[in-house]
Order: sequence, then structure tokens, then C-alpha cells
Amino acid sequence: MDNSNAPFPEVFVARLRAHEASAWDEAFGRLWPIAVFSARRTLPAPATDADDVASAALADFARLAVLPGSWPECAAMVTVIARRRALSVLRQRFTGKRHALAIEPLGEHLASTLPEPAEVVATALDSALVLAELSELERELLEAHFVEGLNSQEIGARLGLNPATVRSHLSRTLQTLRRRWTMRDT
Amino acid sequence: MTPEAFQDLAFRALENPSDAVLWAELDAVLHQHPDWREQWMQLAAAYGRAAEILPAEAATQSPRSTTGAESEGNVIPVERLEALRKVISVEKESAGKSTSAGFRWAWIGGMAAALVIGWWAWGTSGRAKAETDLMAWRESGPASLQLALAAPLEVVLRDASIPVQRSTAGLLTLRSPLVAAEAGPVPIEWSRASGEAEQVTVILRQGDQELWRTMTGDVRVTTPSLRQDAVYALELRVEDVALLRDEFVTVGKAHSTDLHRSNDLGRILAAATASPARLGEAVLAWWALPPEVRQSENGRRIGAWLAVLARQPDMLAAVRK
Repeated sequence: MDNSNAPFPEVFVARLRAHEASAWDEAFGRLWPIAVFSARRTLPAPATDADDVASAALADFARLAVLPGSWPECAAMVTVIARRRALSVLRQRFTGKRHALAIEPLGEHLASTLPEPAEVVATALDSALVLAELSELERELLEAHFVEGLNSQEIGARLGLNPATVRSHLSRTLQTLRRRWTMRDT
Repeated sequence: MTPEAFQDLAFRALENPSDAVLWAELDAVLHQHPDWREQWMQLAAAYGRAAEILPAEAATQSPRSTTGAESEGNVIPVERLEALRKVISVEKESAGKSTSAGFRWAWIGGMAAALVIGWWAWGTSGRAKAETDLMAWRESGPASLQLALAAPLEVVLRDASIPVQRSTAGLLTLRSPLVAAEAGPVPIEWSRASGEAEQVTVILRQGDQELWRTMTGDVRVTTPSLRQDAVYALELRVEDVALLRDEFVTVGKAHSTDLHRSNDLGRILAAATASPARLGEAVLAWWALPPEVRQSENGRRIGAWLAVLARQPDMLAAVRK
């Protein structure tokens, strides 16, 4: 995948606008592994629904009123859409159970005010600077937990830390991120 | 339990979303220490936000398809690609039917920021012109409305999904009022996740002032008569712990009558997208439309969009009939 942030060439844009099958085949082919990865990270193992979630996410992506203008932006958008699709599957699976809230860490009342995926992508694109201000350990912990999907036990084993220490570090780092994102929002 | 131990428990719950025992323990601790609830909500919100933003940020840096393209899951299965081609085919057909096919593919550099900024910018420009012209709303309305007016109707109806308003502990689900209620005595209704009978205290506030309070073992109560055009804060408590908070506005019948007299879906959209939004007016006006207008294609499209925006399950069920 072309990993540059360069905008799509006009010719490619025109082909997508014209719903040209070969252009969309290329888009779906490139974005499929990203959608599957995001779904697998969100669904509990063995994540048998991951392909269904990825398909639904790419269909959502194809129906967006305004699409991203570069491959990295597309990748970020598909990541967000696939995660939300996966959470939706989990929500249905857990409906009626006492800990249904657990599948949506934001809490249902906050979920009702979730930002548009485009807004999440905009924040993600701006987050490189925010993350650069964190310590190397903080970045490593965030990456391991939220990107690689490792839990505190696994991270502790990898870094030689007590899992409780990992959780404590992550909680504090999240507070820092929350403050910085809030500053960005305002 | 110490605050540090609570913080640890909270994080363990977040990273183990399907561990019912952990979540039950967290529920119990929050019942015992309601003063920790705000801290919990902040952590949960930050965790949820990070869980969306950080993978998206990572995807912009190193998209997964750059490595191991031949490994399992990295190549789109033929049958999946075929199904997605059908989606594109439907989109193409839909765009062909539109008199302004171009707007759906308004590609721009830096689209993410533009979409967000566009929402706000739109609010201050072109609204008057759009008010009586659905085509104009489709061209220049909020992105979600553009989609609702342009995508195939069956897709709009299928994809419309209303987030449920639940208590923070997942024990109570508010059924009504959602967003708005007609002025006068307002029915308040909820359901329980557990099905166990519990005494629920219902408190109604306006600003800092408590207006009314009652306790019931039922799942519905009716408030005293409430005046129109006011914002009320609703709180449901079990064993003195606030489990659910929500706000709703009261709307007078006069508003909706004015709107539906015009028989104009554009006017409903104007109310729904005003700043601040007058969702209550828009919802009541939609219900007050003549049935043939309400069940027309545009009536159903707008109904589906408005149902999601204003969290109205009944409205969504009506447009899907």
C-alpha cells in the first residue's frame, strides 16, 4: 500500500466517482486486511464474525457521503468503522445481560453521542504530535494495549513489569491523553 | 477498598469486557462509593476514545496490508468482493437516478476536518434557501441527512439504528421520554435488565431546583403537569444511587401545529437542524403529518433520519412498516 499522505490522483478519484468496478476492487483489496484486523481486535477470540464485520464495514465505507482523500486516511476510517461494526455485533450478543455495558467501554449514554467517524479520523491524524509528547514507555504501553490488543498481563510479561504497574501507568497516561484531546477539542 | 485498588479494578474491567464477575464487582463498588462514579466515567470515556483513536492513528502510520499480504485474512475472499461489487453497483444506480450525482463524491483533501467543519459552516449559510427545497437539503444539509435523502431507501431503513439510553451500570433502560415530550403530565417509563422488582426513586429537576420526587416499584410513573419550552433533568435512583440521568424538553402543541399546517417536510428539517436543535418540535410535527405524506418516500427517509437523531424507536418502527 502506498503509505504516503499524498492525495489520490485525480484520475483515480474520477474512476471511484464513476463507480468503476476495477477502482473499487483496488480499494476493497487494500482495505480488507485493515477491516479484518480491526474487527479481530475488537471481537473476542476466535472472532468468527470478523469477515462479516469487515464486509459490512467496507460496504459502509463505500456508502460514505464524503470519502477520505488518501490511503492512510482511508485506513483510519475503515479501522474506526470496522470497530464500531464489531461493537454493534457484540452489543447484540450481550443484549439483556447484566454486564452489557462492558462491551461498550464508553457507556451507553456516551455511545449515543459518539463522534462521526470522520471526526475520530481527524483527531487521529492530529494525534501524532500529542503522542510525541508522551514518554517512550507511555507510548509503548499504549501501542501494546490499544493497537496490538495485548492485556496488562501480556504487556507485563513482555516488559518485565507487574501487571498492576502496567494498569496504573496506562490509567495515568489515559488521563494525560484525555486532557490533551479536550484541549484540542476546545 | 482504596482509591488505587478501585482504579486497578476499573482498568481490569475495561480490558476484560466480557468478564461478568469483574463487572459485577465494579457495579458493587460503585454502589458503595458513588463519589467514585465520576472518576470511573472519565476513565471509561478516555479508554473508549483511545480505543478508537489510537488504532486509527496507527493505521495511518503503518497500514496492515503492507506486511504479509499473502497471509490468512489479508486477501479479500472472492465471494466477499463479489458482494461488495453489488454495493457499488447499487450506489452507481442510485447516483444515476439522482439529478445531482456529483455531490455524493465530493472528494476533498483533508476530508475529515472538512466534514466536521462543514456541519457548523452549513448552519450559518444557505439554510433559508434550503428550507422549502428538499433537493437543496440533499445538496447542502448535514452529511447524515444528505445520505438519508440520497441512499437507496432500503439501505436507509436497514442501517438506521438508535442508540439505547441506558443507566451507567446497565441496570435500567429509559424508554421514554427520549429527547422531547409534550407539555403536560409526562409519562416516564423504563425497563430493568435483571427483571427484579426494585424500588426506584424518580427525581425531576430544573436547573438546581428539585421539582418533584416519587418512589415506585413499578416501571412507569407520570409527572405532574409540566410547562412547555423547558428543559428538565431526570434522575432514576436505586438504593440512593443515581443510576440514570437524562434530559428532555417539553414542547407545546402549538409548535407542531404550525409546522404540520405547512405540510412541508423542509420545515421539519429546519426545526431539526436549527441551532439549538428543536428536535421535539420536529418529531411531533412528523407524527402530525398526513399519513400519505408521512409514508411517502421522502417522509420515510426523513422519519428514519429524525428517529435516529432524536432517539425515537416508535418513529423508526413506523417508517419501516
